[in-house]
Order: sequence, then structure tokens, then C-alpha cells
Amino acid sequence: MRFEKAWTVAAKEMAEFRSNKYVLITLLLLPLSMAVVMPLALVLPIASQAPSGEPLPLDLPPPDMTIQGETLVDRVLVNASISDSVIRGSVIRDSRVMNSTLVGVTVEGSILEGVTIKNSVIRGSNVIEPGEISGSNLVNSPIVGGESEFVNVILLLLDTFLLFFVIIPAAIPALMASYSFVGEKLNKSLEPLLATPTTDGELLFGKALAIFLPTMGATWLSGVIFILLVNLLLEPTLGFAPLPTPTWLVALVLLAPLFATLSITANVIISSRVSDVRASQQLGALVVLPAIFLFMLPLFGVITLGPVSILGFAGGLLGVNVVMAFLALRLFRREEILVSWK
Amino acid sequence: MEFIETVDLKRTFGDIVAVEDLNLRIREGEVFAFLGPNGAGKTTTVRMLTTLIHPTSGKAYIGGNEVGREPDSMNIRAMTGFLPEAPGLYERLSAARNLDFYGRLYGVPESRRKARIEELLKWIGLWKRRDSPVATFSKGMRQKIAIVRAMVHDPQILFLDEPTAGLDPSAAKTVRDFLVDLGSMGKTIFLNTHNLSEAERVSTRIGVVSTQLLAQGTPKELAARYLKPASVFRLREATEDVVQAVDALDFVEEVHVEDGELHVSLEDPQKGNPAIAKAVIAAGGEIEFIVEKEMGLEEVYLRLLEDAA
Ligand SMILES: Nc1ncnc2c1ncn2[C@@H]1O[C@H](COP(=O)(O)OP(=O)(O)OP(=O)(O)O)[C@@H](O)[C@H]1O
Ligand SMILES: [Mg+2]
Repeated sequence: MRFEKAWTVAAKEMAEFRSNKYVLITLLLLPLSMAVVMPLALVLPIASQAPSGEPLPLDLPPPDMTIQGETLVDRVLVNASISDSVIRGSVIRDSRVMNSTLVGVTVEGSILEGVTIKNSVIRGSNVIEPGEISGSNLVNSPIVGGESEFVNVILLLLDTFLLFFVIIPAAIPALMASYSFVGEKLNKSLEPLLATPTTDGELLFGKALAIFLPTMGATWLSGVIFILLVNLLLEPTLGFAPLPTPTWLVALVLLAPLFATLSITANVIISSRVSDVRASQQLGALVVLPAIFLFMLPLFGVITLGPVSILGFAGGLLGVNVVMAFLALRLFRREEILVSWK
Repeated sequence: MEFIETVDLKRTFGDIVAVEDLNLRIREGEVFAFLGPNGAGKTTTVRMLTTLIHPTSGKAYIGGNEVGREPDSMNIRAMTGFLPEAPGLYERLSAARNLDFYGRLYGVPESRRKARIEELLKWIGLWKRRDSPVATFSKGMRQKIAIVRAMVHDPQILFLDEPTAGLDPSAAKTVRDFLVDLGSMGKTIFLNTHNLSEAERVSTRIGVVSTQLLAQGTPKELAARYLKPASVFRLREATEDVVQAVDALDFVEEVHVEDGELHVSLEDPQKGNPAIAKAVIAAGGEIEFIVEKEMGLEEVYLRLLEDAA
């Protein structure tokens, strides 16, 4: 394989793509709309629902009383320092509560640190690294840090958005390959091309590269925009930038290119055997199914989506890719393509 | 071994025999016209010779390389230029970009490539339009670009599949003049055509094909080999009596009247003409002119195809 021959083919293909408005629209509009529209449409409502803002400037006086390791019911606690306790149906004001559980409590002007909150109302307080928060109403009370249920839900939601960044690199090649190979067939330009001293490997690699580079460019660009936008929207609420998580990094850096490659090899095989653009696109689009399948698994509790499970999946995908690339080369029959031209 | 040689070359598509028993020998520097009607197997033959498709049986050699065998096929591709039936240019790319792409694939170094592309585009009068997308070009302009595309790497052999198909008469003439020029530059050209006058004008030798090779040679050789000489007698009136009298002569092979003229086929006109004249006069005919019948390629071609059918 002479790389400069493959690159010649790739450069020609990309020059053709640059002047094909359908390809440009697919490359730019589809991924970018996902990167911009999705965060705005899905993340923004959540972000606005959440308690927001920086920690309140609460200046608590030295506590009047210290409570530790107790269970308190129906009490009014003002200017207290409470730790490792369980408090039910009480009112807490101007206090500091640490590592405790609040059930049916009304809190005002306090600092809650590492506290689990159930069926309570929190007003004008700072909630720092909370435990689980459920059935509660936080009014003018920012959550600062911590793996609260709210934060977990957001992170889980963000992980599901990864699906799009795996579907995009799988879907774009379906369209591009149909222009690349079937287009060349319809255009009858394959015949003089095959008469040049270029090997099948150089031709296929060049064409694959011409699809891979723009696909990954569009995917990563939209990924970066998505990350920036989500961080911009959620950082004020969460107090930290949620993306990229390790799961995101592994998915974008490893999984996306592997899906792109899988889609390209599959589409190369399809379009060297099919002679119309539409059939090629439709069959090629089926490649997104394994991507969707991967993201269905955590929903059914088969696996949890995380860096490790994705790495494992990526390893499997790499193996499939090698087999597919080999198949694409073996199944590329220049003569058959020419002879079955209609 | 000749520069281009085929030995019992055969190609079938399912039950259809596209070409068979093809034995061609073409010398370096020849302009060979492969002449045949639609479906004669011209394109199929050129596709085999350019290594695009495999022969079903038989062998073919180009410059000592065997078609269909690696790395010979790669050598053949490197030394040949090919104009397919359809120009197959990249419509979205400019004329110069199309040529540059092929120049790169054929391994023409950058320094030479630029000059070569300029030279070729100037030659076909499209240098000014070099940066326009091919989609904006007329059919004839495309064909010209496709022809020079086959020449960017200055190949030893050119395979041209109907280069003047779809061109207007003046564009077709330009292309034919190219071919004559190329021939005089010593290029070996294999030209598929179904245009008789093109074959006659451009080529040094003609092969007539209709699935099988029916004949090959220079136009003169073909005429001499396949057409009986004939004399044409222009009479004041070609009566039935005259025809019968001439037909009765034993050395006359065939007589017929065409446009009021008497066409007489015979082995040796110089020997037979005086006797025919006598017979015509005896039968009451009045002779105005006697001429030797012009033997064009057309007669040979049609006769060959008729005999083959
Ligand atoms: N790809 C193919 N599949 C099936 N049959 C084919 C194919 N290519 C050619 N043939 C058949 O082979 C025969 C020769 O075809 P070919 O194209 O070589 O003729 P040709 O001399 O180039 O004709 P034309 O002057 O029309 O271009 C025809 O009967 C044709 O139907
Ligand atoms: Mg043909």
C-alpha cells in the first residue's frame, strides 16, 4: 500500500464532498443541531428547575448548642451545630447540620453538609455535598458539590446523550459512502479510475479515509460544542463542570471512531454490491443499530454504562472492525462492479 | 512477440459470447482501428486489454506483460492510457483538477504534471476554462478532456473506445486530427470505432470484428482480398438483352444494373473488358464510358458482416 496514492484518492473525494451540498448539510447541520439543540431542549429545562446560584453568603454565629448522634423529633433548633443525627418533623434555623438525615423538616438559613434530605422544605440554605435528596423542595438553596440524586440524574442523562455522539459517526458514513461508491458507479468514473495503476487497497483506504476524516471532524466538533454548552448551562447549578466524564472521554475518543470505521467498512461492502444510492443509504443506516443496542443494555440493567464497560465494548468493536476491513477488501471485486453496471 | 498480442482471446457474459477466437498482433507505433457494429465486442476487448475484466479463456500480452496476471497487470495499467465509452469525469471538479488527479495516480511527478496539464489543456483549447467544474462543459468538451486525461502520463499505448462518439463533425475532426498527430508521434493506438471513414482516415491497419475477428489489414489489402474487381459500363440504355448477353460470357461472375450502369464482376478486367464491350455492342448497347469500380472500405465491411451473419 502506497499511502500517497491512497491520499490522492482521499483528497479527490474530499474535494468532491466539499462541493456537494447534501454532504455538507449532513456533515454540518445534523451533528451541530444535535450539539446545540439537544442541550438547549433537554438540559436547559432541567437546569432551570434545579436550585441555582452560588453558595449563599451565610454568616452563622458561633452555635449556642451542639447535638451529636441523637434522634430528634418535632423540635425547633436555632443556632445549633448538629452532626450524625436523625431529625424528624422539626424546624431548623441558622444552624449547621452535618452528616445527618432530615425527614419532614423545615430548614431556613442553614448550612447542610453531607445530609440526606427526605420530604423536607429547605429555604435560603446552602446544601453542600448532600446525600440522597427526595420528595423535598429546595427554595433559594444552592446545592454545592456532592453526588446528590439530582446530580446523579443529570450525569446519567448526560451519559445517555452519548448515544447521539455514537450514532452520528455511524450515520454520516452511510450517506457519504453512497455518494462515494455508488456515485462513482453512476457517474461511470470508476472505469477509468480502475484502469490506473492503483491497487484495491489504496482505492478503498483512500475512499474510507475521505469519509472518516470529515465524519470524525463533525463528530468531535459537535461533541466539543455540546460539552461546552452543557457546562455553561449546568455549572452555575451544579457548582462544577459535569463534562467530560470518564465515560464521555472514552466514548468520544474510542467508541466514536470505532463506530465510524465500522460504518465505513460496512458501507463500503454494501455500496460495492448495490447499484443505487437510496438502497445503499438505507442499508448503510442499519449500522447505527449496534450503537443503539449498546445504549439499550444499561436500560435493561444488563451492564452499567461506564468507562470500563465502554472500553470492553470498544475492544470487541475493534475486532469486528478488523474483520470487516478485511472483508471489504476481499469482497471488492472491481470486475463485478464494472460488469454489473446497468 | 508483438507489442499487443492476443491468443484465442474469449470473453462470455453468461450465455452471451461477447468475443471469441480473437488473435490480434499489433506492432509498436501502429494505429489500429478495431472496427465493428454495435455489440461486436469492441468494448469488451478493450476492457480485457486494459486489465479491467478477465478473459474467459485465451491470453493477451501488452509489451510483454500478460493481461490478468500480477504484477503484469499493474505494469500494463502504468503504460497505457484509456478512454472508456463514457468519459466518466468528476463533474464537481475542475478540468485541471480532473487531470491532476489522474496525473497523480499515474505517478507523474508534480513538476512535470503542471506543465503537462497546461500543455494538454492548451492543445484542446480549454486552458482558459481550466478552473471551471466539468459539469459546466459541453459533451464535446468533456470528451476532449477525457481523451487528454488518458494522456497525462504520456503513455506508450492508448486505448480509445469510440473517441468521436457524440461529437459534432468539427469536434470529431479535431479529435481525428489528434489521432493522426499521435500516430505520427509514434504512439501505439488501439481505436474502437464503428465509423468506417474514421478507421480509414486515422489508422494504419484495420481489424473488422463481429464477435470474431473477420479480417485485418490495411484498407487496400482488405479491398483486394475481399472484393472481386468490377468494371462499370455506362450505356445509353441498359436493356435486358445487353444484360443477358454479358451474363452469357463464361468469365463474367456477376452482372447487375445500378443507376442505369452495368456493373460487371470478373477476375481480370483488363483481359475481359474488350470481350464484354463486343458483347454489349452486339446486343445493341451503346457504350459511353468504361471505368474501374471504386472499392471502398464500406463494401468490404458490409460484405464481411453479411458473410459472417
Ligand atoms: N457487462 C455485461 N453484461 C452482459 N453482457 C455484456 C456486458 N458487456 C457486454 N455484454 C455483451 O457482450 C456483447 C459485446 O458487447 P460490447 O459492449 O463489447 O460491444 P461493442 O462492440 O462495444 O458495442 P458498441 O458499439 O455498441 O459499443 C454484447 O452482446 C453485449 O450485450
Ligand atoms: Mg462499445
